[in-house]
Amino acid sequence: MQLDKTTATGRPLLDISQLEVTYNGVAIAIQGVSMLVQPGKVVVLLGRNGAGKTTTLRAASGFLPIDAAKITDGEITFDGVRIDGKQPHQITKLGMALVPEREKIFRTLTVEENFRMVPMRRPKERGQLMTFIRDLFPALQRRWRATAGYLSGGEIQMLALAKTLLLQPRLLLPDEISLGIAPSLVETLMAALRRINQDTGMAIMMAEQNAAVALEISDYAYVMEAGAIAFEGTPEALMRNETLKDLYLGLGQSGTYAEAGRQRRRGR
Amino acid sequence: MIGSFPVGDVVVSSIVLGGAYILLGLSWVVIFRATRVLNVAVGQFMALGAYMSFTFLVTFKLPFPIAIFLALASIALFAGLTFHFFVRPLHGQPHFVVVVLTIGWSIVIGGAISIIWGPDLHVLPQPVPDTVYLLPLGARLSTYGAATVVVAVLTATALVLFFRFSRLGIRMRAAAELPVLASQSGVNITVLFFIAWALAGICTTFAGIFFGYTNVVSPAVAAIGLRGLTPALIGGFESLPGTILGAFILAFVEVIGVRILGGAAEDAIVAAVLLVFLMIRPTGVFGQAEVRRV
Amino acid sequence: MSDIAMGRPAEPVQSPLEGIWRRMAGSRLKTSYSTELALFRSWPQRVAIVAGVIFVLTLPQTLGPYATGVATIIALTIPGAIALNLLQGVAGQVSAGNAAFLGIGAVVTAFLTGRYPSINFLIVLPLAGLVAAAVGAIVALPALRVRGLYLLISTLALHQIIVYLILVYQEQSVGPAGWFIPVPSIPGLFSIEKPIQWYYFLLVFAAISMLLMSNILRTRIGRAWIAIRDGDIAAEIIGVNVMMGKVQAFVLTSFVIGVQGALFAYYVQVIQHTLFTFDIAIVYISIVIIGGMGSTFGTVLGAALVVGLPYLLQQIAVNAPSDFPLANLFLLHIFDLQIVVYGLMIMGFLLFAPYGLVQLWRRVIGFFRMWPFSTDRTSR
Repeated sequence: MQLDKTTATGRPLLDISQLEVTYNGVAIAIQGVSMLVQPGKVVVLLGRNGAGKTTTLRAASGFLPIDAAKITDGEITFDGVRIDGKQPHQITKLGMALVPEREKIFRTLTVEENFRMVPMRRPKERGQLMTFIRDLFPALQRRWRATAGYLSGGEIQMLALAKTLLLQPRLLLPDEISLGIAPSLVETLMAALRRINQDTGMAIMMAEQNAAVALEISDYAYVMEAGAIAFEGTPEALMRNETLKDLYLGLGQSGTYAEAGRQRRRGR
Repeated sequence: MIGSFPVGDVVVSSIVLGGAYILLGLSWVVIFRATRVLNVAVGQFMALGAYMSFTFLVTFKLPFPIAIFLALASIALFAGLTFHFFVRPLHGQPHFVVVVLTIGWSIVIGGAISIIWGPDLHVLPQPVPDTVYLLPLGARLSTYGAATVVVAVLTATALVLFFRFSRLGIRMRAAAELPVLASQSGVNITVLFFIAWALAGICTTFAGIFFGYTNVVSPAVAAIGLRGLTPALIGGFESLPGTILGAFILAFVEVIGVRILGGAAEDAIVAAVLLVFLMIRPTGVFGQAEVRRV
Repeated sequence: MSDIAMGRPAEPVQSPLEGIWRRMAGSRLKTSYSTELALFRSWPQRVAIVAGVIFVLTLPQTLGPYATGVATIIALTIPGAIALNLLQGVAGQVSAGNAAFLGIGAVVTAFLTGRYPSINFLIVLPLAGLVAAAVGAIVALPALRVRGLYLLISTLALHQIIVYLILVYQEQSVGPAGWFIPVPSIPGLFSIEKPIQWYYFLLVFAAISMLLMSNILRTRIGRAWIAIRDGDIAAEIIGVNVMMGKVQAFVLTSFVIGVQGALFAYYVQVIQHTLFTFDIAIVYISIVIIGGMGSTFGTVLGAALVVGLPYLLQQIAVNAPSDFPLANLFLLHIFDLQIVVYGLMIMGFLLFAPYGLVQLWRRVIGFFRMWPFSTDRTSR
């Protein structure tokens, strides 16, 4: 089930084609991976640990060399520009920003300083954007002058997400932001992502193990397994496939994804 | 004087020496905080600063402000280039590799200084004649001693304010903590690190100049630079206020110790203070322990 | 990571055959336990070792007295360098303590031969080592407590304090002339006076320390040390007492350096506090790095290069034709130039060959072994 490459809005924002990433020159992490992200859409990468979700995001955002990995085949194009092999700050300048899984905030700086240090692409909009962020995450406002390292896990995640917003990306790449976060906070984070997407038109491609919450806000999903794409489709299409729901989404015998969400909230 | 113990003299000497140690300690700390390198060549930067001042003041006979500015600028550039050519390529290697590299570099600089300027001692021409002021309690303060303290405190204050409040300073702290994350945010961390080393170069040059004025310009200046390690350690290599306090503690202990044991014990006293603090608090009195929620 | 999921490693860019050659050249696969454990692994290596031994034993006859003198100093340096190499391997940190422990060993020798003029050197050597080891034991725990650069800083401080104490002791006992050390001898049998005697005598100690290093890693203690070196947290988990291991290594290496200090005292015959400079500690650190960490052979190469280079430069300067343009300048500043070259050498190795001469050596050998295939991605 492939999305048409040229939708009404024109070319895709992010075009990953036959991507192959190798670690330490010997271990192939992902192979033959092709994905699209249309402007303003929310795409989710699902799958188990080690399936290749994080690798894909890191490849797209230029973070591979840190893990001694490199792109050994395929192409990544962002808004018409080839970006495979570019450095993180170059890719950020083009308009795509990763929210990393670990090492995502500056723990020795205060919350306020974490925001201050970000150079914006359109500095005039700083005030406006900071207001939006404070509205999105009121909890951060309360901890404005606190040293970031002492924040709770959920607050850290909010800060990581918020300061990446300051980079004013056209495509945001949250990497497993629900990891280790209490379920109620996960709802808040996902709601924030949805609001960011709807209010600013920012496209989102996120890696998530928590399939149910992610599918609720996504327009399209890719399910990865062992370094390749096993399934892809709209959330509705995925939920109609019982095998898929069982094996990959952990959703058992429930009906629609909304129903699954309700069941989950009720504690199954 | 209290009895025959010159309290005033001890206090004043400690403060003046503390000023010099502040400047040296800051050099070690700024470089370590920014790039996680123990730059052993700091001592030779100091000597180079003193010798360059001599050259600009005596050989080229430039006016005092211009000569000092050139000396500061040249060592700042030298320090930055040291980072760019020697430290940057070793990124990713274990810490001791870079430290030994700076040891090698300090050996090279020492030899080069000896070749260029020879083994003679030099005196820096004084723009303002040195006067000794007699203060109560038997204290004596010289003009250049006072200048040392003033410059040291001003520099330290400027650095503290810079790192605390300026956007560039915050970015430098961010880049020191997580270079990759800072880089992703669009910050040019290479330039930031260069600036950090240049700032350290300026601090050591001040120290070298003042040492040149309160003593002489000689190859032995370099060995003094190593002592800055102690105040830096007391400040945990992180905290600038801690380094300042450490500088005064060290100076005070050293002044008293030298009175009791004689001048030859200087290095040993500094080393002993270092060891004591190493034993009781390796992360320094003010250093931030790892900020991590368990 | 996912190579298990994928089921196969990535294909190398060149042909499969070259890939296999590449990996084999680097790893020297063994096919049985006996070959794994053997000290002398293959017959070319045995031939090389025998040739090396013959060269070293006949050096005074083949190369003459000047070279013998240089070689003697190299031999004197080797035990301390090997000890430092071992320590840095286990502790994972740089130590600047060599000069201090040398000084301790030398001063103990001075003290004992002063107090008991007829004391035999065979008693003095181990005693010097024991005193050094005792000091090492006191300093080890606090110095090794924290990882990172704390061993370097601690030993740096230790150096200053020890040198000062030696200065004080010297002033109180013999004054600026220093201590005079008698000739080591076994009455009625032999005494070590002539340069050639010193050469063979120190060769024995160099050989002992080399064998010690090669073999100690095969003992139970040594295997624990390897575990600590390779990953001290993992070692802790499987029951290796990491702190104890590091302290043991520090104490043992202090002992060796102390003995070396005693040998040094007997060799130079006059001991003063000015002999034990911080530069000496740096010399040992540079030998280990230039030679190659973790390698006995590398240490020998490193010692030969670091100790021998100043003499080589001197010979060049002295024998250069006088109409060589910069000859005068060269001679005038020969001492400082030696220093600059030495510093550049340290930096050069760290920047371009961080695994030392041993790495370069293996690249050369690997080239010949791999020929006619290219070697650009062989060793790392």
